[in-house]
Amino acid sequence: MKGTETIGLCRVLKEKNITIKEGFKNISELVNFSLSIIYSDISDEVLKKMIETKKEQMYLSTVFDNGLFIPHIKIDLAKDFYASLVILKSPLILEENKKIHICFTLISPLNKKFFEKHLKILSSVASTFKNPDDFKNLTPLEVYNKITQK
Amino acid sequence: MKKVKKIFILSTAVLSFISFWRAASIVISDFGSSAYYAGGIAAKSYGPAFPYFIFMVMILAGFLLMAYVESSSLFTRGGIYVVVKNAFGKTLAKFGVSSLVFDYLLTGPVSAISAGLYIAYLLDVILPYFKISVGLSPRFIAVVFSLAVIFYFWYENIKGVKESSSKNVKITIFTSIVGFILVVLSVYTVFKKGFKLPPFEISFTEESLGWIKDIGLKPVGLLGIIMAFGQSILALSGLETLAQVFREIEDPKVKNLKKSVLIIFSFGILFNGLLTFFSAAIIPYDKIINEYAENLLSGLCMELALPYSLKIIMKILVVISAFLMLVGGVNTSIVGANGILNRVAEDGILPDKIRKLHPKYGTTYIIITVVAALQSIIVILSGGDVFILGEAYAFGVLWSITLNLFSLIVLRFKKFGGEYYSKFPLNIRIDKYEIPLGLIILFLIVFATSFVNLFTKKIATIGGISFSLLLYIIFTYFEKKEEGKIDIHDINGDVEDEKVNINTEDDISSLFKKITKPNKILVPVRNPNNLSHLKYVLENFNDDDTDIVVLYIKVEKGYEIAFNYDKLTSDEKELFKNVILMAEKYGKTVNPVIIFSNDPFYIILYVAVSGGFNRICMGVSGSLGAEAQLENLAVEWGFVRPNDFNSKIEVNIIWESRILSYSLS
Repeated sequence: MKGTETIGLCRVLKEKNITIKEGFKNISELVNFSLSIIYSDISDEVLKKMIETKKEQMYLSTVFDNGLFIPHIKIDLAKDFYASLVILKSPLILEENKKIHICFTLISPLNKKFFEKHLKILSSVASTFKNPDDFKNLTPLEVYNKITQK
Repeated sequence: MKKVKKIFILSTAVLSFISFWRAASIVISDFGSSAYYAGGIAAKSYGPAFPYFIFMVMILAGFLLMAYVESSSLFTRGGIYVVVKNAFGKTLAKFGVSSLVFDYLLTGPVSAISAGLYIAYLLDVILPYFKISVGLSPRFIAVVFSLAVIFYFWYENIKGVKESSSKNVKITIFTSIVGFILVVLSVYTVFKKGFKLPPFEISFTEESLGWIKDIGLKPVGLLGIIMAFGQSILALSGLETLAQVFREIEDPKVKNLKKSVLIIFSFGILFNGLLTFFSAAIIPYDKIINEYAENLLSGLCMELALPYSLKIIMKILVVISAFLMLVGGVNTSIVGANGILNRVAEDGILPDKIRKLHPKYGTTYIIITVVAALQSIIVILSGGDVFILGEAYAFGVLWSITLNLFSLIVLRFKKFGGEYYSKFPLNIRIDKYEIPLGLIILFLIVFATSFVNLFTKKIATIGGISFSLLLYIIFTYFEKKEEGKIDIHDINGDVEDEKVNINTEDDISSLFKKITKPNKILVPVRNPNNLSHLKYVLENFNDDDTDIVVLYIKVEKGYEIAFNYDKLTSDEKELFKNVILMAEKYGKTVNPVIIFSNDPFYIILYVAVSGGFNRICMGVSGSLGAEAQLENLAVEWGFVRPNDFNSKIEVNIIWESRILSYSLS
């Protein structure tokens, strides 16, 4: 696999897929909400069903110490990347005192030629949301502009 | 986000490796040193035929070195103990080690006293010119000198073999130059004075006949030849040291070992063999016996066809070389005894405590101290009489080599072998069996000599058997005592419990100050049975220009260290044992590091960036899989990547014969 630099997130994340919200009871609720945003971009019902069958894998994704949560899966039917961003006004508190401040959901094509880009996007997400507090009081447009600047 | 909690650097004295030159020089320091005393002792023992037998012993040494190549290619941490144990079991192995330790304890004092005598006899010639009279006997001077030398090398070995072996290289070079000059001047003398071959006459003294005369046998014919040959075996010391330093020879190990063997053999023939021959050809036999038996090569200098002043200069050079070489022999004896007793202790036959490492230098200081202390006692008891020590010597060398050769023959039939197996030549195939004829012939020669020596070398037989039995009893006692504590290591001669030192560093930057090579590879390890990625690195990268850092991350929850980390867990010991054994097998330097953290992927990248690494080689995680590992690394890279980072880190995830690569930039 060739070397990559981090990738601009605006290439996979649309402004309309950024939401500021609170009141999630658990991870599954948060993931389901994030996916519902993504589904608006997907017309292929088979692909949606496939994501639904594999979405439980996303609940197990790592929650990082800074409050970033990146649920992600690779689907072989997907021909492109789909992403949504949920910024939680008040964090979702989990076991062991872990908190989710930002949820970036990513659906990637399950294909060798996309894997490198998939990794690049993951790096970019972590790099962009290193400090979740920077995004706390922004509107979706401001978040999008901030991401675009990065 | 405090992720790094505590950094520990793990070190042993064996994780850096030496060149074939250095390995050869360690052995030569012992093997070559016998040139200064073996001829004189042999001449006194059985008469004018001694140079022929010394020469024969040198040729035998060549074959034995080849046999050591075979045993070393079988076991990285080999030597007599491991070889005999795998062939016959522990009982004979313990006996082999016991007898060999006896000789290691003797060879140091023989070398030291011989050096002391060379110096004392030089002072005898020089001091009268300055009207100085010391009034001390040469043997007394030799004893005092020997104790000082043993003390010096005890300290050097406490500091570590690498430091002491660098001196051996210089000593070997200097001695080779002096030896070459001596050979040239001897040739000149032979041309000038004429040449007469030393007579092949054997006449044994009462002492050298031993019990043969009581049995009523006549020392003539083949028996006489074997007896004389056996009396010359003291020229054959230091070979076991080759097996002990093999683990420290750099990659490619077996090829380098063969180069070391060639150097040692050439040195033995040209220095020991040829110079002893010239001494016998140039110095009248009576003079050898009456004046130069304790300092034969000094005698050769005084008989050269040169003006007196030049003779004295040559004598001074020879004494300096004798001093350097013989004291090097003391060092080698300590290195060798330490090595072989370590192999025994690793196997639970000696208390594990005696392998405790020196807190600063990482050496097995208790074993080294015991060896040096026993050698000092032997020096004092000998009263500086090199002939008594010469009489006592050779029991262990011969019987350990006999056992070693017999074991190699047995191992051939047990189908031992491996990737780098290098067989002793002359093997005949009969049907589906391969007969190791070369080894068998060599074994018969050595066995015959060992057997005859039992009857001729009284002091060696009594001393050797008594000491070996005593040591054997000690081994057996501790083996029983340690039994429930330590598992017996497996048939492949693995080490059960590698001793390591742990040094603590305050932060990661101080950890990497010593890692300065142009290429740096970080090898995270976790599972002792999954080190194929380390194997890949050791096989594919050259440690001349690459620093290999093996990183173990101990995952700890919470941010404070709540307990004492002085001791590793058994799993961690197993992991680092395997790392060390693999590094030894490939002869490449690795730098093991333990870091305590709650986030392994973060730490891997943090260390890679902080240390300027250009490659990370990971094994595949059984629970995650290679792709998920890369995903985790990719996310962490987003956190760790400094804004001004402008180079690349190649990540390889390696499993079986597959590699998944990704470049972090």
